[in-house]
This record gives sequence, structure tokens and C-alpha cells, in this order.
Amino acid sequence: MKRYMLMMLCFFLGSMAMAQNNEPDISPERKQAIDSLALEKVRDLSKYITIIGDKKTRDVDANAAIDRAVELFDEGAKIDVSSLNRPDDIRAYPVKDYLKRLKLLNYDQVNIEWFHIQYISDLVKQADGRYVGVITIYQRFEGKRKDGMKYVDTTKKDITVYVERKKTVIQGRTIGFWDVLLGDIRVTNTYK
Amino acid sequence: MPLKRILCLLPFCLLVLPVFGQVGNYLDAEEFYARTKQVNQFIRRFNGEEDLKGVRINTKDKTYRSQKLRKKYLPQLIDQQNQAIVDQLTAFGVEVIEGKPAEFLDFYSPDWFAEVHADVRFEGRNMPITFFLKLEEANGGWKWVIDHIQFAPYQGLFDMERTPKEFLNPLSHELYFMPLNEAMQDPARLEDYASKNYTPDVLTLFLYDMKRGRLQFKGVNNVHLHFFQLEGWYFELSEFNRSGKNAGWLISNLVKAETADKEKLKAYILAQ
Repeated sequence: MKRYMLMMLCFFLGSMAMAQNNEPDISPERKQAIDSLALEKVRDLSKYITIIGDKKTRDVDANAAIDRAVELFDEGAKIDVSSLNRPDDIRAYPVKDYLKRLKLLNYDQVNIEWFHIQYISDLVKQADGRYVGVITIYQRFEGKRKDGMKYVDTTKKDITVYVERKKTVIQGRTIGFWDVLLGDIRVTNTYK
Repeated sequence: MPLKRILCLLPFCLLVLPVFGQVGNYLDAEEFYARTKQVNQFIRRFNGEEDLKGVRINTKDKTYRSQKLRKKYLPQLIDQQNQAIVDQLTAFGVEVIEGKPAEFLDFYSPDWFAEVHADVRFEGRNMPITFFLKLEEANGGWKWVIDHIQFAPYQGLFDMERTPKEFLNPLSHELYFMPLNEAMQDPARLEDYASKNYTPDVLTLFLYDMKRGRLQFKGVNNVHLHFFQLEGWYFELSEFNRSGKNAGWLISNLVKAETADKEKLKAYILAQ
């Protein structure tokens, strides 16, 4: 959270020069800063998912992590759920439902790891004035049961990122800044 | 393992760790870096705009869009299991990368479109449907829009090729358009009574059926992208979800095509 505040402050300061413009384009330097913020949000999501999936996490903590994770997303965002056993049956769930299902997975031990291999697309301005990008990451899921049953898969996750220009008033002055929200996540099983 | 051997391996491990060390024990990191993970990455690699780890190269850097870098990436951007593409790669590279001027792909160019295969439920049956989408500018931004549809139940519904034989006589109005009663009896000949400017629009049919609840969308199965941007060439881009380095978004079809041929190709793809 502290990290966010710092980054947001940098955005505030960096955006002050553009505050006069109604429709500023994003400079390459600004895009790089936005990439970093988006990546931070993705990493935070990975941490929350690990906490929610971990069977040792207390219920109250898991619920708090669900709430924090939901805050990272744009309204109405959905996440795919896939399974190696049913590769053609990928279903999309609203973020909160997805996370609740994750918490209730029928395993005695769950280990979720997001690898530090990521790819960040260019940002493209969409019809509503927001910018959209996609961050691709890889996740390894391992679920174990006491009876010895073990399920392991590695999935590719394409995460939509929305970047929006917002305004706030500080000491009577209107200042623009860029906000980042996560959107739909597409999941593909990787065949290894 | 003897200590001497460990010490011998140590420099190699230290060399590799900063690049792939964070990845963990389960993935072949090199493989995952090699994969073309997004269409965006395909375009940037094709144009020589990013390094091996997918980081954007500064436009002022001498390697940015360099011929050397582009030639290095090109073999990784095709489906190497498709011999027909492999056979054409040299000619493609020479003309597109080494040609003067060299050619680059542009996300905002109008000369590419998407072919999206999906499933729908129509009158109680699951059926395939194909959407063709193109990028369209809107409010200073961009969006994908449906440009055309292929759907078996709509095919052959309209016969616009034949010469119209039936018509309403030019004095029909005097009879309060009484001949319309006869005209509307034969559905097979209804097109004859339409204006010469009329062209059937399957997209309208699709929207109508969706709104009426006769069609329900189930989901997307497959996506192909058709690129007509490069002088003298057409290629198709598809996602290959398989193990190994030659995976991800790759050229799945490569055809040498001049401008006239490209028009024929487009018509062929849309009419399949």
C-alpha cells in the first residue's frame, strides 16, 4: 500500500505539467511508469491469490485478501478457470466468485506460484478514452490431498490492464493522474 | 558431486542465474522467453522493437528496428513445422527485411483483420460461427468491430447472382399495389422485388436472431489474424499452444501475393 502511495505521488507530480491539457497522450517515459504500476498490481494480485489459495490461511485473512484483490479490478471483470482434465471447458467467473472458489478448492494443500516471466504489451487508446494493455504471466498450481492425489498445471494468464486519466483537487488545484485497474483474465493451459 | 566439479560449474550457474534464476524449478525459462506470448510481441519482434526478454528498445538505440535483430527473430516467428512456410522464409526475409525500404507491421494499419471461430446455440443445436472483425477508430481511440459473419444457416439464403425475373409493374400503384399479394407468395424469388442497390447483410440477420433469442453465444474457440500490410506478401497469424521454443503466435500461412492477388485472397477468406 505504501508502495502504491509513493507511485501515485510520483504520478501526481509527473502529471502536474500536463494538468492543463484535456487529452494528454502518454509519453514513453510515462508509459514505462504505468507499466511498473500495472506490474505492481499484477504482483499484488499474485500475492493475494497465493494467500487465498493457501490452506493454512485463516478464513478471516482469506476474506480480507479477497476484498483487497477485488479492489485491484475494474467493475465487471471476469477470470477464466481451466483444468488440464477439461481443456475445452474454460469458464469465466466474476473476480469475487473466482477468488471464493479458489478459497474453497477441495485440496488439503495448495501451492500457487507466479513466475517472474512477464510480457507487457503496448498501451492502446480505446473508444471510451481509457488506455488498455495486456500483461502475460505464467502460473504454476499444485494441489494435494491427504489420500495422495495431486494435481499440477502451469497456465498462461493474459491480464487486461486499464489505464485511466483521473483528476483530483489538492489545495484548490485540479491535478490529473493516471490510475491502473485490472480487467478480464484469459487462461490457457500450457502443454509442458 | 566432487567439490572440484561444483566449483567448475559455479561460474556457469552465476552467469545463468540473473537471467533465468527467478523462474523456479518447474519451467524451462528459455522456452518461455522464446515463445511469442502476444500478438503485440509478434509485431514488436517482427519490427525489431524489443530485446530477447521482451523489453522495449529505445527508439534512439542503434539496435531498434535493426536488420540484424529482425533477421534473428524472423525464423522464430513462423511455424517451423510447416515446410511450405520454411521454404519461403528466405525470399520473405530478403524482400521484407532487407528490401529498400524495409517493411514494418503497424497495429493501426487498416490492412489486417481477425477471423474468430466460435460456437453458438441455434434453434436448440450447437453450431460453429465465424466472425470477421476489424479495428475501427472511435472517439480518438480504437475498437474491434464485427465486419462480417459466416454462419451455415445464412448461407444460400439469398441468391443475388441470378438476374431478377419477377417485378412489380410500373403502374402497380394504380391498383393500390395489388400485385404485391402475388409477389409475396414465393419466398425463393423475394430478392427480385428488391432495389438493385440492395445487398443482403448477414450481420443484420445475426443481430436480429440474437435479439430474438434464436441464437445464443457460447464462446470463442480459435482466432486467426490475416495480415495484408506487407508489399507483395500475405500471411496468417495463429496461436500454437505447444511445448518447445517454437510456440505462441506464429505465422501459420505465408503467400506471395501482389495487390490484385490480395483482393482475391481477402474475398476467398471471407467467402469460405
